[in-house]
Amino acid sequence: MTKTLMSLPGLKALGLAVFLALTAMILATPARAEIEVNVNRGDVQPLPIAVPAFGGAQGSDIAQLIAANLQRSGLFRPLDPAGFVEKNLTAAVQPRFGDWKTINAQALVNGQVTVEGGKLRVDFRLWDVFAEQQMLGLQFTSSPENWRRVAHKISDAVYERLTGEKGYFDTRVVFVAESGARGKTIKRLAIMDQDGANPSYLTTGDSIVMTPRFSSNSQEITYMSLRPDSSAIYLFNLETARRESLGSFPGMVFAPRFSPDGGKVVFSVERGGNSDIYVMNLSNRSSQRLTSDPSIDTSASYSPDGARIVFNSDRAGSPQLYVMGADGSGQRRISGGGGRYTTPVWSPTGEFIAFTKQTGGEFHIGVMRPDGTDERLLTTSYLDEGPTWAPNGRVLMFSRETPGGAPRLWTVDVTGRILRPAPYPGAASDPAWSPLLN
Amino acid sequence: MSRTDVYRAEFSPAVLGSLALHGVVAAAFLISWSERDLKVGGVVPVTIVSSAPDRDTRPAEQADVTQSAQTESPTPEAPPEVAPPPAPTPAPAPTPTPRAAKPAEKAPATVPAKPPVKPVEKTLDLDALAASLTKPARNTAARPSSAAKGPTRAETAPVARQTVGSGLAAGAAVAGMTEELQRRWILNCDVEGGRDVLVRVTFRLGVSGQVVGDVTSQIQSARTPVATAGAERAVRAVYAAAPFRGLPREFYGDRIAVNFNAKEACAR
Repeated sequence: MTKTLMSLPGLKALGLAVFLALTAMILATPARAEIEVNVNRGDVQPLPIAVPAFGGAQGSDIAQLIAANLQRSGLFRPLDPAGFVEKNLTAAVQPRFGDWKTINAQALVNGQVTVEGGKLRVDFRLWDVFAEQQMLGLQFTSSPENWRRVAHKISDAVYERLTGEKGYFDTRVVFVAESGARGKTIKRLAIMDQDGANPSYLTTGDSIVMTPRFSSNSQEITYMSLRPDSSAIYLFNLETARRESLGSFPGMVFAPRFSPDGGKVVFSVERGGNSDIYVMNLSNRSSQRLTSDPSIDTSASYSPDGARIVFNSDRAGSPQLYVMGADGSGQRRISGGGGRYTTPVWSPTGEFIAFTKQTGGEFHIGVMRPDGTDERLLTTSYLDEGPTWAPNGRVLMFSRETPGGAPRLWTVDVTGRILRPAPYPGAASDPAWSPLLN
Repeated sequence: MSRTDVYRAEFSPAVLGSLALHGVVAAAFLISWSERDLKVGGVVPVTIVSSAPDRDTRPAEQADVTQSAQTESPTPEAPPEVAPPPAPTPAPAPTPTPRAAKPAEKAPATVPAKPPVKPVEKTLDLDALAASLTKPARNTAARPSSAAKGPTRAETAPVARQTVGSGLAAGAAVAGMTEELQRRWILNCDVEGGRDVLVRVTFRLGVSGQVVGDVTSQIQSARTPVATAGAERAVRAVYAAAPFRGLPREFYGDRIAVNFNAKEACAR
């Protein structure tokens, strides 16, 4: 339907009037503007997270393990399931977000476990409760007896999504398990999951084992075996349990460590009171001497890119930290503070070097930048030593000994704020953290 | 006390542009409106059924997992879809020699092990003291908002109404909003880079103080995965703090920009 509304002169007059009225209204109305607020204070606390039991068989066990992992990291506070309002939540439906807001859960992990054809399938989702959005949804399948690894992988996924850092839960720790009375201590090589589960011995205790280290593929470790009349460095394949000697050397060999690509082992050889650092190419077993100073050079550790090596040397009178090229070139001291620095380990991210420091009758675990700046002491005790990095470079494990007590494994984060015993109940020392498992 | 800045431009470039546009439209109206007929269309009735927030119901992604050599590893499979809700829902190594020598270097056995607690330098922080008087204890679940809510809110009282729009009332209102956001912002200072996160979050408020439309974030520091996670925490703080009631009427409909500064927050 169409029709002519008004004659032209009348319309022009009306248009002018409307224009003037609109202009007057705009000038009289306050402008819509942006309000700016600065928030310079916040609540620094572990993130409250809800991990209700997953549906299906072992769903409760999986949820509990995830919650325990997250809590142990110090960055999360799993909420007590007794306070959950929504029950029997599965991964198949959206949560009632209001119920989770009520208990101030910032994030929610729910899931469903099914077993079909002898296979375990775990489907889980991570929800942002307040934004009412799914943040992550993944599904894993495995054999039912591997439910713990599934839970660790879910923990890693949740951790990474909510912190921005890689997780470290699907990992293992090799260490020296100690038993027996003082003076008659039996030291056996042992391995466990990072949460203390599935501990097992790798050696029988017929020799003293020290300084186990993982290769980058998590399947092989190298360690030192000490007998009354000799020492040896071994390679141990975790899959086949095959043990292989690195070879015989004219002197005592110790402190082995893999290169980042797993193709070399760097180690120390002591002869006549002088220790120097050597590297062996595992493909052809050729060795190269990297240091030749008339002092104790030991504890070599590669940078993640394999280009540099940090080590400790007493060439300046007391043990200090030095960095050199992977071929032994350009050796320079990086530790500048007072005290004795030992056991340096380059972090997997390359940002820090962890070390043991002895000063004032106490021991510390500390970190510094690879150029020696920004030194921070994270722990203090009667005897803390031998740090090892979690694969994400945020957490360190080390051994702590109290006067008259047996050594125990502890963890501390790189800020030094989150310090706690590692979940292994026995006497243990020389921990080495694996990379993330494949 | 945290700093609160309020900036309101009375004649922004947008207003001037709007005026110019109106002028052009009116001129066009006067000049080009000839004998052309107007076509009047029919009116389509619109009924608002619900205004639930958008939900991201993306299906589960393929997990990037491969078989482990030593044990059977969890492997991914095709993920299922999330079913819609059944009913509408509301909203190095020590050397052998040093190892043996260490006990001799230790403190005497009578020295007790010290607790690994770092000494805290105590200073008189009046800002922190003032904040502690208004801030509830940490780690309490479901902390209620400090903003007045419900029918007895002061802002609805006639006396309070008289101050609406004044600079004092606006400042107090924004201070209240800031305080609520501070209490809801759970930041992570313990990850590498977490202290460097600067995020600007923008949103609009509806007439009842609820967040209307999307809440967007802009990382103003290095764009790292840690910063991305930090931005999500800032957005979460906005959703958790809403609705923002008790604000002067003119705040509703305006765009609010909140600058979350982890560097300053973690330094406190």
